[in-house]
Amino acid sequence: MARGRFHGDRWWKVMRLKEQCQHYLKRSLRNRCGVAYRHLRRALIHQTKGRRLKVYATNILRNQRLEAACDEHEIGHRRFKRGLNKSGVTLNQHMLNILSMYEPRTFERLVELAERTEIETVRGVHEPLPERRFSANKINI
Amino acid sequence: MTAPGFGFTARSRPSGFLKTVLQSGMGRPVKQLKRVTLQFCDNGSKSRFARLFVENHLTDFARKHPTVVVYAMPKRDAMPQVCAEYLNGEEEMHELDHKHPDEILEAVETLAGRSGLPLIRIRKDWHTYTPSIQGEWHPFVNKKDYDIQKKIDFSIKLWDAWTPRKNAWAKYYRADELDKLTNRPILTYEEKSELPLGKWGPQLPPIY
Amino acid sequence: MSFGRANQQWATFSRVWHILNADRQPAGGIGVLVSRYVQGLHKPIYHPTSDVGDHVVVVNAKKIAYSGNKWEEKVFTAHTGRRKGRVRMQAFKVHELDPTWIIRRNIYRQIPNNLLRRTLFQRVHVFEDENVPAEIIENVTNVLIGPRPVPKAITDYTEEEKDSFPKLFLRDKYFLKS
Repeated sequence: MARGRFHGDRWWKVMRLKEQCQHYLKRSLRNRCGVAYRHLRRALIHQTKGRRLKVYATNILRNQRLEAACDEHEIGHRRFKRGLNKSGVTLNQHMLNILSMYEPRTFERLVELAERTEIETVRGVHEPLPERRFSANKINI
Repeated sequence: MTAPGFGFTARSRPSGFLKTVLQSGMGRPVKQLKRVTLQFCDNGSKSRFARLFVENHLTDFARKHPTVVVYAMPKRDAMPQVCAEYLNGEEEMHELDHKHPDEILEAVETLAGRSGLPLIRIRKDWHTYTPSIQGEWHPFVNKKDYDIQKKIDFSIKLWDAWTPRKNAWAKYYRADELDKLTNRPILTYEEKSELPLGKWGPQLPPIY
Repeated sequence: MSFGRANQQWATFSRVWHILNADRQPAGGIGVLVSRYVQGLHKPIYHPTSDVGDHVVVVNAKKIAYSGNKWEEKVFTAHTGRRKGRVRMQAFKVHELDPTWIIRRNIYRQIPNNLLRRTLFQRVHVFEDENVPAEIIENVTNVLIGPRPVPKAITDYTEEEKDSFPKLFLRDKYFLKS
């Protein structure tokens, strides 16, 4: 039903708006579109801003999970990352989390890899190394 | 078969994960299309392309997909449309007003390749029913020496000041190797000056 | 071992009961440790909105240790809201009235301040002695180690060990108080 010359048929536009407001508790917000539009607009703005914050939050979560997984194997999480870097393993936090949850035995071996490369390349430089060595004959001068 | 809802955003519109009906690709692939009914008029102008399609392409299509039942229903003054029915009860209808027979063939072939699952945004392009090979994590996975028969002993353990605490990395080396790591020879001043890199340089490890 | 799908889920998300002996441990360190286990931060499946926390039983809360003179100098304050309602109590006094109060306060404050705090705090069970009811002890499967490695006191050594310990000089009765 056309109310005026300028607006035309706004029924579909109003229906799209109302679909988003059906879960609002106040009856006036469910039925009156002008009032509801303000709330909707705020919610959509939060959504656009939240897209950036989501990355921030997932990084924090993944770090917490890595710390927990390293704690179970009695290694510090920073030592673990250092050792992996030294040995050339470039797995990111996301994959390390997946391994610790779904493949616990590979994660144990990764912990061993990190420890032994760190001892033999960083800490073992000034000390005689064991005969059965894990890492290649590399030294850091 | 598009899902209902006029939402603004992908979050308010329905979305789902990648699925097949009853894992049909694991064994023999089962076609989900049950029957195709083609309705058209024998005299009207709108269904002239539909009549061409029925003459030229329909039997080839029916032979290509032997599990699909194809009905062609000519009716006086009927709108040309094709209705596809799937095994899970979904129906999809396409209108064929003034569509070229090649276009009709394309539409019908796509219908044959689909299952009756709704067309929604797929969240991930991969899915497994067995995400883990070594077994998923549970609280007792990393507790190797756990014995349920043992009584729980929560008394405090006292330390002498001189007991050495075992390093966590001691379990990766044998005992004689550990001795070499921890009991390294302390060189005197003269021995150090004879080293290849000098007194204040690093001591190189032996090359095997 | 292989689980079915539902049993696998029940295994991964099962709630474990831990026990911690607070004998000669610092109160703040216990709060940090316990809040970590109660939130579920020790599990690689952690998520803040999914309920992955465990139960923790704290035992021997009476025997907590403060370093220095904190038992006399540390003061806990409160206000009843009425006039002249300021209450100040030293730590040893508070410990006399309720031996579990200090530990519970520390744990409650270490859990983050959100709507989950009260439910998570209900999963912390603090006892002043080693007398724990049987319903709670039979659920316990894991022993937590406290943050402080407890050193041996001179009274914990036997006479034989004291005599056989190498000495720098022999004790002369003229140099000892009688």
